[in-house]
Parts: sequence; structure tokens; C-alpha cells
Amino acid sequence: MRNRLAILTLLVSVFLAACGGGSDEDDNGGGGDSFFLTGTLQGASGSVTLALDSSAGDQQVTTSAATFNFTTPLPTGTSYSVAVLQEPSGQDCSISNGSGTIGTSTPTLVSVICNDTAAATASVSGTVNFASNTLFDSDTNDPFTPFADNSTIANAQVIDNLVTIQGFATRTPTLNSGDRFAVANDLDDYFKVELQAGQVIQMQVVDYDQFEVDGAFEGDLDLYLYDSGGNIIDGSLSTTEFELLQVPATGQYYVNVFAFRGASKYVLRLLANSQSQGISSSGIADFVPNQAIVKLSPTTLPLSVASANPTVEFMHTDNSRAILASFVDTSQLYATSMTRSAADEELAVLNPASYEKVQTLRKIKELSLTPGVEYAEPNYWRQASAIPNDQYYDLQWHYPAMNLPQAWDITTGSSNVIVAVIDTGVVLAHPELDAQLVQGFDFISDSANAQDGGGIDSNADDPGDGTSVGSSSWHGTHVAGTVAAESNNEIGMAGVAWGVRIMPIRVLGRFGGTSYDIMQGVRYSAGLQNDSGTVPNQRADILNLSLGGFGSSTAEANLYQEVYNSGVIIIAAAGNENTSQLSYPASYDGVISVSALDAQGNRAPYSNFGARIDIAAPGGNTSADLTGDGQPDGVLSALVDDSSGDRKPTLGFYQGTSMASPHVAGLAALMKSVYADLDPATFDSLLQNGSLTNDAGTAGRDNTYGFGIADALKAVQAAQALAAGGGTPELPASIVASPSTISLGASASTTLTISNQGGGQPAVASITASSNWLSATAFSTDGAGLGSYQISVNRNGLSDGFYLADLVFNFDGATSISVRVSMTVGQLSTNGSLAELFFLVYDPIAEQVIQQVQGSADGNGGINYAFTNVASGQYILYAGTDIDNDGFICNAGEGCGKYPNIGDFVYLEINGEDRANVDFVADIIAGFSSVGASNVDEGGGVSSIGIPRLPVTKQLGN
Amino acid sequence: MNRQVFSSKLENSGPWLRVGMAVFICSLVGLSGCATTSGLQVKTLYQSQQCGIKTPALRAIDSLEKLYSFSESQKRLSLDGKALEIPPPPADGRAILLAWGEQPTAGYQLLLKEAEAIPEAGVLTLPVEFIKPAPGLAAAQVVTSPCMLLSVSSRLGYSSVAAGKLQLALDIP
Repeated sequence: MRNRLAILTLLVSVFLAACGGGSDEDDNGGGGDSFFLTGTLQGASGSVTLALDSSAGDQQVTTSAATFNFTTPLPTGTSYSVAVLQEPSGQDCSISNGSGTIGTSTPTLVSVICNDTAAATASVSGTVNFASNTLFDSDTNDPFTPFADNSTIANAQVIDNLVTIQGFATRTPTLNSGDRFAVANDLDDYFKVELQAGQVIQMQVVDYDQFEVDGAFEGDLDLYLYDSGGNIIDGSLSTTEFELLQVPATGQYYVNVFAFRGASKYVLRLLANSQSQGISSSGIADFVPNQAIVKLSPTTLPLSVASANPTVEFMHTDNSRAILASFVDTSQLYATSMTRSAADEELAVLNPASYEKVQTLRKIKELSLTPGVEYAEPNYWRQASAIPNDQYYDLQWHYPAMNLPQAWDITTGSSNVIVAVIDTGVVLAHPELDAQLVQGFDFISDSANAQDGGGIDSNADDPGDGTSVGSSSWHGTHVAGTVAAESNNEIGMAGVAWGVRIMPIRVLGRFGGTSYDIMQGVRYSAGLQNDSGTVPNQRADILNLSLGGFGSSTAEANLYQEVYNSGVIIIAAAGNENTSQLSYPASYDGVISVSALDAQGNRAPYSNFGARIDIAAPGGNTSADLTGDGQPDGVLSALVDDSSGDRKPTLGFYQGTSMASPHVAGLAALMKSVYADLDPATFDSLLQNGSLTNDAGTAGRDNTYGFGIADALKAVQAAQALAAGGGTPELPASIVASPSTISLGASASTTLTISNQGGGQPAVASITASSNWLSATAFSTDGAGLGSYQISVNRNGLSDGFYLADLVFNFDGATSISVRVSMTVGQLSTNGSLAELFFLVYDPIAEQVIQQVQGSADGNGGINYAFTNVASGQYILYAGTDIDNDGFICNAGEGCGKYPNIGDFVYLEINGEDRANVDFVADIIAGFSSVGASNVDEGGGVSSIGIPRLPVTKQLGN
Repeated sequence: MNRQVFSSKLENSGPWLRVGMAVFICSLVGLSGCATTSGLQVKTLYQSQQCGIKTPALRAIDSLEKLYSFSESQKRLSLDGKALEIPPPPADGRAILLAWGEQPTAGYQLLLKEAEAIPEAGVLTLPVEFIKPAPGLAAAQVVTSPCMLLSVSSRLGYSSVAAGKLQLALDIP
């Protein structure tokens, strides 16, 4: 063992010696047959990085010393080369003896010599275009930007729809030397624009309080919407970063940005309807001017608040409850230190009532921000309405969504009216329903499907459609509860028409419902002959069918027509497959098809849609709690809990078009209670002329909402009018244009269809266009002018831009339909004033701007720039606005571009050769998820950069 | 009996005794490769058509905290003020939650067909039938989300459970 160890040690020693571990006579210490490469460096003004590439290994050395060496041993026969990876800025470095093959002696020294680059400079020029549909406030704080006052309605800046605007507003002068608003304020910016119903307007208050973006400004801006008459339509007066408005109807509006406090940049976006999905504003409800409801903190005395705000008087001094406050001096503005602005003066004359409301809102906001005030709110006008006192009524958001409380002031239903719930049956003993029922029937003919021991029988009690405890839906009970649950009895929940009676008809069992069984149930409830051999003592006035499938049949279609003709109103669920595929019976003629809405009046994600949808009503979405009541946004109604083995009454939230349908059935029942002669044809007429609904979606009928969102108050009032002797309305002509608006873009023509979906004999009398570039030619029409038209535009002689016009089809009888047509000519350019664009050549090593120029418009929407004598090097080229004049471009709320694209880490190389057509695009930096139609950043925002620009001296002037 | 003696006796024992001992030992140490031929009890602790679970899932509810959390998620309003009580599994059982996900109509049902299940190759397939609405028949247009909470015997013999296309590997110490 010891002998073996000794021999091993000897071998290792020999090996190590062969690898150069021993001494040798070479200066570079390579040892043996290996050598180290060394060299000299001359003339370098800074560090040089050299790279050794050899078969024995690679290495990099960075040095500014006169000599250098590589520590990779290079055996004899190794090929090598040395290259300069990085040289000092402004120098060129060359190498001598940089390559070769290692011999048996020390390799020749590598020589690196650096010389200053020839003082070559170059010009750089190009054009920057801003992302399409971006605009600038015509009076920003940047003194170099052309100025146009937009502080009043009269001077409102006219803008196109669907634009993004960067702007600036300040309540008081900035007092910064050189600012446009150094000695004046910019309290209001007004924009005049044509808007569409449902559009959303968003504003980002870039420098809002508590958010240190760049520290230059801090402010709280509010957003208002006025109609063309100066009426305040909507207002968003938060203290947060974002404000939101929604456009209630298509028309001309003034969008007003108001500086409530401080100063801030802002980004204002006008969203298209398709971008507004899921975003909505509730608007401003009517309120009493010059009043507020205030709640003070327990330790705050009303006197202390009033003394701090002398325009406020409190009705009482009990700070344990809300107090009615009055703004007694109506001549005082919301901020007592202010005088009336030009906009105030204008609105006070144009629309005094609107002016008072706006001032009240501002005073309320000011009060709410007063220390010691927990909240301050408008004193809203509320209409008298009968609210049931059921325990869980507050969770039934779906009733106020239909204006039911207001309808209940008129009627809660008559016991003479019967609604047949054709379904799984009803748990007859449920306390919410037991007093509401008339005799029903069970038409499930298959005993296995019926699960009640037999075929058809007179017992419509629902034994459960499940296979085990906890697996039944109790669907019919829930639906019946929505129609007419016992209400106002302090327990449970309320129904739509709790005065009417329910006829429970059982047709759905464990496996569903057969067409034949359902038909028998329909026949019985309508008082027609059926397989039971009986008819009810009093037939149903309204049938509710919260059921469906995809197959249609002649037998069913004929039956529903027969029932319709007999005077019974039939309501059915549109289906839950989120499809436009037709579901039956909802899609039969004579049946009202109901789609489902969520708590915000948007189509529920599961709801079917399409050509046969007649009306929309709340159906719920239990995936959300948009109401904020702590419960899923389903429809609350009666249910059963059979977990103990017994059917115990309970309540629950369901979602589905099954839930929407009984809302409409109940609405029809309320109408019938007021107007006993209501029949299906009259119901149809009223539905189609808008008497039962609030229009939503596309104007007129559309595939999501049908003729609109059910409104029980309107419906009952319409029934009242009929009951008072008003004539049964003729089915009116219902002219529909498809599509309802036309966006041609760069196209020359398209096809438009004009049709009548109502009654009468309307005929096209004339067609007019609001601009002479727009025309309509009959393509395939009938004698009344209904059919398809070719819509054409003529761009000859039109300058580049975005154009809007209306095409109006005038019918005899003073009916007309207007179709808005938009198109573009050439390249879209920004309207209104262009902000000043600064161009910066930025040295990333020295971290400083080495050159700056201001651009000039090229007449095509782009801004040209040109640099001269740019020294060779690597740079970042920026373009940006400084609308708040704080000395930085590319802050949030400002325009910014970087060559070649923001987000690319690519330097602009200048090496003595002139560079032209260095073009790139700029966009507005904002906090929204996407900004305008920028092709700089598709789908993502751009982070605030904040590049300091060089001071520029210029005469201020408008 | 000390280990050395026990080993010696096992080496000298006949083959059937060795098999029997192997089964006994497997049972003691819970080796998943050991097959057991006796059924394991499966029973329903809770079932609902409105569980609110949007996607199909198979989960182990393996603590009281998780059971409580699930119970809370299933709480509903009531007319009698009583809260939902989901019983825990017996001491020798484990709770398995099976959810079918959101369905567009009524008629989608989970049915426990048998009271026992036999593991195979370490997998205990729950004896649950996924019942769909009968084709061609009309269905109630209510969105449902069926689920069932099952108690499964935790006796040894399986390391995962399956139901339909779902499979769940259990964390068995």
C-alpha cells in the first residue's frame, strides 16, 4: 500500500511539471511549452477591452494601462487572435501582431494603438408622426405650443370622436416663470364633439394628489358632460386618478375638464362603444340645488364646519345622524376665494339651472373634503314608490333595474290575472307561494321522468328533478317566486306581480321535458283541449316557459300560434348557450323571447342573442357582485333545501334566461291587471313602439336587447293609457337600417339595407345626405323603397382627414331613419393645435442631452426635425412634448417617441455619415391599458420616462 | 421478537405465509403497489346543483379548515336562519370534492352509483355517474354548477382518486 502511494505521488509530480508547473526561463511565466500573451497599449483615452480567441481558451481583458497580458496559457502550436471589443469613445484602436501561432519561444508583443477619431460629424433628420387619433389641448402650459383658448362653451375646441387628448389645466396661476399660465389660470377646457349613446369618456388626472409622478404639479381635475343647451348631463367629481362619464344618447356634447384644485396634466379618451363594454357610469340623478346631505364625524360640531364655510347652514346640530345642509348664498362660488370664471358667467346666462347644479356639486365636493366631514352628498329627488318590506328585498337588485318599485305605486297585480308557470312544478307548500296558487296540473307522462309514482295527474307539486338529495333544481319554484311570490310580508323576498295568481304546470322532470308533454301543459293552461280531459276554471292570461331546446316542430309552431290567437301572451327564455342559434319555443312566432342581463344591464355572459330576441330583462350573473351587496349577482327567489331529506323552504340566487323570462311575464301580468283587455297583439305593438322598454345597444331593435330593456313603469303606464280610453296603438312602422352606422375607413362604398320590422305601409319619400360627398343608390328595393342600397363616397377634392355625415331616409308620415357614415381621406392627421415637439439627442454614457431642436410641421400631420454636426457616437433619439413646461419631456400625460421604438434598446449610431429619414412614431404616455391607435405600443401603456430637456428662451405670446 | 429472529423466521417460512405476511406488511406501510380486494366505503356528505364552481375539479378537502372554507362558500340565505352544516368525514375517511363545472341548463347531475369502490393499481375510481340532460328534450334554462362532497374511506390501498376524466393524486404520508 505504501509503495503504491509513493509511485502515484511521483507520477503526479511529473505530470504537473509537464504542464508548466515547474520553473522555466521564459519571462511570461508560461512554463514548459506554454506561453502567456502580453502587449502594449498606447494613446488610449480610456479603457479598452481586448478579446483573445484561441484554441486553448478565450479571454477578455479590459485595461487602460500601458501594458496588458492574458493569463490563458497558450501551448506551442496554438493559434490565436486578439481583437478590440470596445474602444474609448471618440477613438479608433488598431492592433498589430494580434494573431499567430504559438511557437517555442515567447510570442511577439501585441501592440494596440488608439487614436482620436477624426472629428467627423453628421446630420440626422427625419419625421415623427403621432399615433393616429391623438390630439392636444389647444391651451397647454407649454409656451411654445400654438395657443387657442378653449375655456368656454363658445370657444370649445372642436374635436372628432374616438380621439385621445393630452391636456393641462390649473385652477390658479402656476407662478413659474416661462409658463404659459404663470400669471393666469386655465380653469376649464371645453371640447365640442359628436358622441354616440353608450360611449364612455375616461380621463386620467396624471398629477393627481398623492401620486408623485414628476413632482412638478399636483392637482384634482373633474370631468363634466353638457348637452348642446348647456344642461349638465353627467359629472365625475372624484379625487382619484381617473374620472368616467357615459354618454346617454347620441348627439352633440361639450366635454369639460375642470381644475377643481391645483394643476395637472390629463389624458382624455373617447372610447368607442365596443371598447366601453363593462365600463359604465350611472350618471347624475336629479337633485335639489344648493342642498346637501352631510354626515359629520362624532367629534365634529356643525358649528365648526359652518364657521369654516360661511355659505353652509345646517338644519340641526345632531352630528350622530345625517344633516341637511343648505348653501345659503347662491351667489358664492364653491371656493369663496374665487371669482366667476368666463365659463361660469357663460353658463349662468346660457342655462341658469344647470349652472346652479354644477355649483352645488362643487360645493358638495368641497364640503366632503372638509376635515370632520364623513361624507357630503346631493339631496337626490326620489320618486314615491312602494317598496315591499320583505326581509331580503334589498338583495333583489333586479327589480329596481326594471323600475318595478315605481310600477308598484300603480299596481302590484290583480288576483283576476293568472300566470301559468310551465316548468318543473312548484313546491306547493312553500310559504312564499302557497297563498298565490290556483289549481295546476302535472303533464309528465313518463313515470320515470316524473319521479312521482305515475304519469299525468292533477298534482303539480314538484318532488324534485334530481336523482338524489341535493341534486334537484327546484326550478319551477324559483321561477314562480319571481313572477308572484308573496310579498310585503316581512319575510323572504318579493315577486314582480305579487297580487296575481300562479298556475303551476309540471312538464319538466328528471330527464327534461318532452315536446308532447309541454304542448299538453300549454294547451291546458290556455284553456284548450288537452290530454287531461279537463280545462282550468279560468285559463291563464300569460304563460311563462323558462325552458328550451334547439329543435323546432310544426306541431309546436302551430300550437303557439293557436294560443297567441286565443289571446294568451306567451313569454319564453331565450336560452343559455351564448349563441345566436335559435332556441325554442322562444323563437317561434307569437312567443316573446327574453334575453338575460347582468346587474349593469349588459348581456349576461351565458345569454343567447340573435334575430329572435324581443326583449331583455335581468337574468343575473353569479360570477360577479357588481351591486356590492356582498351576494352574487343572481336573481333571488324561492327555493328548497332537501339536504335533510325533507323539502325545507329557502331562498337562493339563480342565473339564467329562465330568470329573465318571469320578469317579463310578471310585467305583462301587471299590465293585464291595469288593462284587462290586453292581448298578445297589443302587447306586441307596445313592445315594438318602445312603450315597454328602454332602448339599449343599437338604436331601435338589436340582437342583444331586442326592443330594449324591460321597464315595468313604462309598461304599466302604457297599459293605464289604454285603460283610460286610449286607442289600441296600431302596430307602427319600425324602420331598421342594417348596419345602423357605417364606418367606411378608406373604402369607397358598401351596402345598406332598409327594412320595416313593424306594421303599416311606409314608403321612402326621399333620401338626403348632410354632405355632398355621400350618396345612396337603390340597389335592390321594392316599390316602397325598402331593400338594399349602395352607399358611396366621393373623395375628390377632399383634403386628408376624418369625415362624418348623415344619410337620412325620409318616409311618408314624418318617419325617418338616419344612418351616420364616417370615412377617412388620405392619412389621418391630428386635428386642433399641435403641441410643441422637442427632439433630443441623448448620450447614454454621459447621461446628458447633447443637442436639442424643435420640430416643424410638414403639413401632412408629421413633424420634421434636423440635427447638424452630431459627433460620432451612440445616442438615444427622443421626441416628446412638455405640455406642463416643467423642463421634462416624456412624462406621464405627455407625448413621447424614441427611435426606432419605445421599448427597443437600440442606439442611434453616428459615425460621420449623414442620416436622413430617421423616422419614428410618438404616442401619449397614459395610465390606461392602451392609448389611441398607436402603433408604437399595441395593447400596452408606455411607462413615464421623463427626459430633461435643455432650457429654451423664447418670447411668450399667443 | 427481535428483528433478527423475525427475519429468520420469515426466510424459513413457506411461500403462502410469505404472501400473507407481504400483504399484512404492505397494509402496514401503505405501499401503493399492494392491491386490496375489499371495497372502500364512499358516501355523500353534501351535494348541490349550485356549487358555484365554474370549472370541473377534483379536490381533497383534507383539513377542517378547508371543510369550513368550503362550507362557507356554499352558505345560502335561509328562511329559518339555520346555517348550512356539512358533516366532516368519519375518522377513517377523507373528503373528496367533485365538481362538474358550470353547465347551461338543469339536468346535469352527479349520481353516486355505489356505496363502495375498489382501488385498482393504486387508483380509486369514484363510483359517480355524470348524467346529462336527455337529448332532444327541453331543459330548464337555469345555469347550474353541480358538485358533490364525498367521504371516501382512507384505508390503505390507493394513492389517487379518479372520477370521469379527472384524477387527483393524494398527499398520503
